[in-house]
Amino acid sequence: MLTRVVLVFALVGLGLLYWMTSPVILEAGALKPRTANLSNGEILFNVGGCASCHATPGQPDRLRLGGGRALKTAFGTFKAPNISSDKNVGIGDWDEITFVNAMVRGVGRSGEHLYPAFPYTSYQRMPIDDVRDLFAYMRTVPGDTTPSKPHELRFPFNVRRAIGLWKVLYLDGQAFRADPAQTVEINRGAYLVEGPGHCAECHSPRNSLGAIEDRRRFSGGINPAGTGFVPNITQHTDGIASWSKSDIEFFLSEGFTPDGASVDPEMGVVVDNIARLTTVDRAAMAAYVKSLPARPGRPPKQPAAADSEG
Amino acid sequence: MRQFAVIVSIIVISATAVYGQNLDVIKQRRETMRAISGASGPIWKMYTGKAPFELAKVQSALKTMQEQFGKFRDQFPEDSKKGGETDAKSLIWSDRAGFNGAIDATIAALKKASSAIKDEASFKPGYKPVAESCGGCHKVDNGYTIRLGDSFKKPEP
Repeated sequence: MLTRVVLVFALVGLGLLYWMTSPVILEAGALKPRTANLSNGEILFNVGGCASCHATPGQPDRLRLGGGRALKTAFGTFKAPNISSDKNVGIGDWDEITFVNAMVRGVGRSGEHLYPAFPYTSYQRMPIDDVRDLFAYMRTVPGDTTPSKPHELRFPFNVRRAIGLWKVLYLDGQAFRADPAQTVEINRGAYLVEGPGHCAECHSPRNSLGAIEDRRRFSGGINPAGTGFVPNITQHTDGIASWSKSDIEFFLSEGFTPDGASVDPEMGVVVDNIARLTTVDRAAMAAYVKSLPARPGRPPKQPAAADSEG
Repeated sequence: MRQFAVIVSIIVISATAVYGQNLDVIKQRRETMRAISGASGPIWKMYTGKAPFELAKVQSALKTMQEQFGKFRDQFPEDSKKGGETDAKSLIWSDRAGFNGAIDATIAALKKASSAIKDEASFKPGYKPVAESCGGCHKVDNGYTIRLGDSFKKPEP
């Protein structure tokens, strides 16, 4: 008798878990017919940094989106997939709604959860029309026939279904909402930084489940792509309090700090993308970054080196 | 007595070897680098749009930087690894070829900039390689010295 009760509870529990972890997606009917804006799509492609992760490594063409770049994390190694317009190995035969669900719901073509190494926690801020413009632009980029490589993840992180639980905690499904109390410039900057720019995804500390610590957002963090510390970009002295708005703009277009230090290679790729935006959009991003509340955050102490300076 | 003198000499000489790091050259090379950074300051103000472009000033500063870097290359003898206020890392001596190469690359960039910069239009493209070459030593990881960067500034001695 008892075993039967336990069994029923277990089944109900599993059923609940299965239901809770179901991918939440938008249906195709949600997309009204419209003409895509390709130049907006190109802007979003640049600020979204798609090429930074998805361009074939070791070659200079940032529009060759054959994937393959490895992201070594605490959970294992992710391999960025092919997102070129190739119909067999890329996204060439995807529907619009499939791309939208990938970007704003983190759900793949077969209804599977995508790993948040793909920063849909930021991309979810993009309004659907912007996502559609981006998709239209990406379909104009030549295809690449390199097949996507599988991720190399340790148990239990290789159980995709479990991401459904992670999403319950960390994916709020909210699109960006302009703040009527703020200027047009700050709102534009906030959208670009928090949405497609996904700056916080690297510049924030993460908890043990790999989610951004909200209250320390932008205060710097261990590089999710490997080693090193990604700087604090808040208005704290640990961050960039001494930088003016035009210093930030200069950095984002020319890749030098106010002291003349060259941008580090990882961020150099980002600068290469942001440099392609208009001056107005870059100024907006700089204005928003300059407005980030001061939060402490320094690199962790290095173990003592044998060197005089360490 | 002579034995005593010899023993004392040995002790003193040994002490010199341990404590007598070449503090003079350490001081001199820090002054050299300060001269370099002082010369580059006005150029950097022009580069970041905070001061108007002046060709004569740029050319004169580039010349100063070339001269100072020439001196700098020879200011790292074996007995100057520690002491004073040096920011030099041991990599300079363990990878001497790399270190000299980085300085030579900067000198070459300075020479090229001198001939390339003729007017305002050629200024930024001409100077950019020089600015980037600072990172040859002042690297993020495995640099020969500390980073350039206001977050990491040490107070002036």
